[in-house]
Amino acid sequence: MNNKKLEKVIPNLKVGNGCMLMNVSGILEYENYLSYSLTYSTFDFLYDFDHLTTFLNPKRPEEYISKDNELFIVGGIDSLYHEDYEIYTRNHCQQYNLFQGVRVYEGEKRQNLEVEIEYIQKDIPLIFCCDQYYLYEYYKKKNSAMNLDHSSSHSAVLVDIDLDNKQCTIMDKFYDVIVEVPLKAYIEAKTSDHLRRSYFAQVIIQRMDIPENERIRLLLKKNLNQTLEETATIEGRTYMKNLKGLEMLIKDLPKFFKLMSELKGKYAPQFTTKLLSPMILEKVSFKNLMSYVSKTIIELQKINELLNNLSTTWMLVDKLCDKCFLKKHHIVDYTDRFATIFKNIYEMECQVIETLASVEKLL
Amino acid sequence: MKDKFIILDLQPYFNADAISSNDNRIDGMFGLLTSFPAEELPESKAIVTVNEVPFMIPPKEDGINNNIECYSELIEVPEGKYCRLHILGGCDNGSFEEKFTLIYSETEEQYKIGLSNTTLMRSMFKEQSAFKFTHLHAKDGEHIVKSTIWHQSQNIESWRYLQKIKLPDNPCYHIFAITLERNDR
Repeated sequence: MNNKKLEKVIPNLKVGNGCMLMNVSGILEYENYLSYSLTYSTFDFLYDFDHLTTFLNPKRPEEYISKDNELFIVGGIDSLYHEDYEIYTRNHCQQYNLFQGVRVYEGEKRQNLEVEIEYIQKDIPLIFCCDQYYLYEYYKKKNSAMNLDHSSSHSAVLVDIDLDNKQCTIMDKFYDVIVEVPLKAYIEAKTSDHLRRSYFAQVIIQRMDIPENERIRLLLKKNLNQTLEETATIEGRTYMKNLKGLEMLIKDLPKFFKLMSELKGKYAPQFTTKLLSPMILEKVSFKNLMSYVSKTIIELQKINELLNNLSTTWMLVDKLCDKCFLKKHHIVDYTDRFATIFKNIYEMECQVIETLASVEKLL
Repeated sequence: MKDKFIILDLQPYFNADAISSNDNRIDGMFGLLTSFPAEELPESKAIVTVNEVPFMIPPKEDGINNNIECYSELIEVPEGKYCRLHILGGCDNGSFEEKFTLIYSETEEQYKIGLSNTTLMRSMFKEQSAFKFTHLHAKDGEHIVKSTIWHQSQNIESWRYLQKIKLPDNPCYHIFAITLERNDR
């Protein structure tokens, strides 16, 4: 293990709209190339009522709910919106061609360590698919908010293997931990019956031969250009973005919750949270990234606090959904409460967009 | 002291249970999965002085609500002139600064009042510590992290007659007690 590189990984710096991208960011940070995450972490909120509420071949709502904790959904929710958002993020990232995730193994779940050892010996960290349930005991010591739950597709980073002591080192940016776990637990996590597949991925970085501050300016300008566009088209489907999208969402909230309630019954709060989770995580991610970037682009420092408040307010959407379910209330009855939150979000985003537009002109 | 402070009875407004006893740790839910240990709080309904301000301790018994999870409640107050608003409270899942609307006889004023996450060791909005807990009760009965209920104070317009306080709407913002401080004059 290269301890010095791992020691530089900053706690609480989560960048990415899900566990996969957060851990890609972890590797970029490990390799001192975190600024490359400007290629996929954006301020973008995408909205279209029909696309947002389209579920592709959905199962019964209860089939998605965790058997260990009714508050949580295990795995994906067969959402068109999620698929589109993933494509949108991937397309954006590919325009830059600065790094790529390469699957070095994909197939049956395997007990042996052949693939891992080959790469770890060359100091190449690998993203692997796992069920964090088996890592809970070790994660919990570093992250008290961790819940005991299975996953069908979580990802984390394997950084080192110590065969002599039968230990390995895992970095998991999603849960904000760097832990040493027994190989037995690691093997259980990567071969869990809950997993649909097994894979290992390497992040291959194209190094830009320019100073870091110049790199940040270039990538940030392109990032902000995209943010300031008003629409996005994905696979022929058009979405309104950011302020326009929020305006429409606020207007549509009554029919949105009515439809979610019809489609998902008492589990409508969990599906609402899950549906919006990439957006919520994106806002947290962007806040973290701008805080990091503002050390170079000082004009961004004036919105750090605002971005912090904004991401906390987006998180309220998630918390209100949780509380609605735990209190056994009907989500339709919470429409006004959600509207209040989204109106606050809109007000804050107006200020953020204005500042980002002025920063973009300076770059 | 009694003349200087008006302790509000918030029982009619309590809509959430955030305190549990050691014998029944799954009673109550502050945030999503935890509650404050009753054994580390003074007796229910006791008047306790915190940072020189008297507050009423909310009921701790199982199954009884003991805090307001803010949802735009309109709190009636004995009409009078007050110079400071004192709150015992805290937030789950973050720290929040929220708008309170103070309704006076002839006008309204809004104040942004911050309450920190109860799991923070230091306050975010210059609140003072009111009660520190060595642990929280969790749904699975496990003791997890230390926590604090905060005391926040806000200067208000002391020359106007206050009638009502409208609370913010934030499901993570919790109030356990409110006391109003009168002018000395």
